Amino acid sequence: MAVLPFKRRTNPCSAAPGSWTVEELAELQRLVGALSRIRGARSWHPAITEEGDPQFYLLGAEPEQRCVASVSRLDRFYILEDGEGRVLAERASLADLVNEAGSLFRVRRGLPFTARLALVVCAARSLLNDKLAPLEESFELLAIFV
Amino acid sequence: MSAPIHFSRGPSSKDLRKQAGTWLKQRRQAAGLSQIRLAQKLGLKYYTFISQVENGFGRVPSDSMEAWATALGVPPSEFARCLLSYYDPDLHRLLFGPLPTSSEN
Repeated sequence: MAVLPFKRRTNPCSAAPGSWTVEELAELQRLVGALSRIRGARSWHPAITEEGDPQFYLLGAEPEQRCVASVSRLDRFYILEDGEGRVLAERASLADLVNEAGSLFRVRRGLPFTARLALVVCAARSLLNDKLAPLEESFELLAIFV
Repeated sequence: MSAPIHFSRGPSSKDLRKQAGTWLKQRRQAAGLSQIRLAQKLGLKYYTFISQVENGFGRVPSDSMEAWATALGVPPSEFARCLLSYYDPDLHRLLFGPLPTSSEN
């Protein structure tokens, strides 16, 4: 898979390379609030890539302060990743990205629940089979003797 | 490959992640790779996660350690062992013994 090359933003009204605008920071603060309950975001840290693109890490509770999500701006796109580097969304609008972030993380949290539910169903079926198998044998024996 | 150097007083996991990031950045630069080139070698769509790990805000996932090691030209077992010393120093000590402290180097 090719890493997408982006040209540096040239719009003079936009933020300087490697920094966030006040408007962007306000949106990112909104993201911290949105992810505080569902992802445990407690604080944040701005950073910059080697290429000069700005990043914004949302961090969990002290002392571990693991990254629970990150937003990067690559030219005109905003990239939302979880703490393990999985890309959750790419949007041209940071406001849209922030609006969708909560549901994106809830979807990801929902998948393990589905898996757990499937496991419970399989376990119940296996238990029922174990309980019914001896009964079936008994009925077969009974049918032979009768 | 130089051995990892840890503080003699137990550093926090946050500090250790930073040290791991610095070590990874050194390995990448020694391999002559940019963050973008490393991301390409790892099959990542964006290079942003490389930056996150090197800045000490992320970890190399266990299931991609071999790919990172290969991309950086480090033997995978050596790479995993070194990262384990940062990410889980207690487990590393149990498996491989105590690490050299900064005062011993």
